Amino acid sequence: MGFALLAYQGAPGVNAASFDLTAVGDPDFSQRNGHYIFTEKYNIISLAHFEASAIRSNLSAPTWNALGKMNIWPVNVSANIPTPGPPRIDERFDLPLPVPLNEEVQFQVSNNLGAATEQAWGLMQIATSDWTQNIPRGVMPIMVRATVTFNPGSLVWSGPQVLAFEQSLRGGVYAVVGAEVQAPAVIAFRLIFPRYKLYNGRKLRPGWICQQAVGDLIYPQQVDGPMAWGEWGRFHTFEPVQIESIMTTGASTAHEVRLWLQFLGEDTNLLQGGLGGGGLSTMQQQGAGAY
Amino acid sequence: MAKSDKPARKPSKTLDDLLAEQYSDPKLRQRVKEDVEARGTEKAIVKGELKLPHPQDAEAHFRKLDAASQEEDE
Repeated sequence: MGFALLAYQGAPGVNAASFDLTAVGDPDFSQRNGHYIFTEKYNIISLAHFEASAIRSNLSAPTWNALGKMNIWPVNVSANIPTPGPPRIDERFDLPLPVPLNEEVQFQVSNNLGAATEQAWGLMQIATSDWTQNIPRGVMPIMVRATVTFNPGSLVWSGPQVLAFEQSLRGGVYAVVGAEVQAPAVIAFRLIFPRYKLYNGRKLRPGWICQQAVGDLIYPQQVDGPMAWGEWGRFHTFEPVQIESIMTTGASTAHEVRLWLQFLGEDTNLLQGGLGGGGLSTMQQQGAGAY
Repeated sequence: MAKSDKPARKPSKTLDDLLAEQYSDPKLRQRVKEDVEARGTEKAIVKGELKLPHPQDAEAHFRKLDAASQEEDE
């Protein structure tokens, strides 16, 4: 199945030690005391900490704490995504970290700040226990460009925004097998698929960090580029994928979106496979047969 | 090596130098300086053990403080 991106944020003060970040409000994942809590099996595939005076960070949950302190390394000594990159990511998808069930997962950060407070971000990419990096079979992947300008607001996920594709896509079903977004001062983006296969009844919003400027690297060296995470989701051109993003100080921002797409075919039944969400086939929708 | 041949020791930067480098806005510079003095972190900042906040972070911090004190006044 798929993966999702979750965010934590906070404003730690001077010489902060294991400052507890707050989970950003999320439509799909619930929180206890400002921390995400998971009731299905997930594995953490990558972690990232962004803060101008960052020195270290760690995760905290009783199951991990029983063994020791679950450190995150390396960290980004930067309030924003480093430009030109690459970002420092604690990348674990060769050996994903299982998330304890029904325990609050805290993202804690430490700094060497000397005055006032500063903005800190913690990002966590989680994948379902059956996630794979396989790409569905189809016509060769192409990379298409789309744009959208909106104000994501401050420290919140913006909610879905409609993409304007540079060129109309041939009608049919596409699997998104990679995505990048370039938007100055924006921390991260997520894709929202209108139809998505639910994981134990839950919808996932896959995403990644943004590029600050054209040409920036946003993948750590260990990651093989944008097509490293398999299928992100699939959509029919009648109902295209949407985007949301998050930033520190809200401002109207142009987002330049690049999607690596695998054309699967014209039949809407293709939405039933992969991460398409299943549901009724075209024949079923038309009332054919004895259903 | 004669004493006079020794490379001159680089004078270490003062807090004011560091503040001037970090903040172009004199008001913000002054507020951060007051904050540093109130917290007693001056020595550690001059030594490089602690860092001055990024101007945007400092602005955001003082904006929050001002908003909170305004609410209290109301």
